[in-house]
Amino acid sequence: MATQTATANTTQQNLTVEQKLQKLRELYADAPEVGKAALQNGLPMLTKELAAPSAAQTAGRIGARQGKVSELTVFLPFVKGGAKRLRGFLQLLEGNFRAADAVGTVHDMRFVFVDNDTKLLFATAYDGDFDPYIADFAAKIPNAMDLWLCNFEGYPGMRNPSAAADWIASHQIAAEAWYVNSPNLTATETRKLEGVGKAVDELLDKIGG
Amino acid sequence: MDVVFSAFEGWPGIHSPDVKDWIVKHQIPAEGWYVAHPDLTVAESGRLKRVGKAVEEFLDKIGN
Repeated sequence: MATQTATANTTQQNLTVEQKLQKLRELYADAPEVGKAALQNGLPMLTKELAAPSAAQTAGRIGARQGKVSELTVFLPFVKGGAKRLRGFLQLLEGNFRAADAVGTVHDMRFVFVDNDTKLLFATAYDGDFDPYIADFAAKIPNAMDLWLCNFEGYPGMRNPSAAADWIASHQIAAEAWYVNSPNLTATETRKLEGVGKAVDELLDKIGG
Repeated sequence: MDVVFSAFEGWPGIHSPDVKDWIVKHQIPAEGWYVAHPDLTVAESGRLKRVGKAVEEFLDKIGN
């Protein structure tokens, strides 16, 4: 599958809202009726979105970023027997990804088996830029990474972090669009806020009690 | 939803009674799924941001 390099969406920055709306109308001139109607009915919200400053950023080498949170999407080709092995491993884990907790920069991860178990769609949201993120995994949880990534063709191993990062990037497809509800909250900051919220709740309980 | 999803074949429109069936038909469940903060909804996250900001302001005030 072809991969592509992330590029900042700089070409739209100098257009006025009216010019952007005109472009949208041209793009949707031959859209299905439901899309044409949505463009017309959704103009108030769309106008606000098009008038806002660009929120699209890149995650360094590849991938999109909003604020502090980036996306990584890869299609990885299984080696023979790899799909069976990884599925069995994931089933035994039962959702307990302690290694991801240990890294501290992962917001979420999904593992989706596609194309009759010949490929894995892996998608994750994480803090920071691509290369430091992969280097962090190599430093903190190389065994956990090798356990699941050994099931794919060409994986060089996390003991070779530079080659591993190149290998991941070669299978990555940068998202055309990326939305994060709290783009300025890292996973660590969220954990801290959970602690603050709990402490405030306890304080209010004590005052009220 | 309709501006984006009208790009796909067979999208019935968000107001159609068939919309959930259309989505489910194209869905592939994940074999593995991890969330760093599984008990935090988007709304709760918004509340925590406000609580955190208020606590910081409070600490700043009593620190002065």
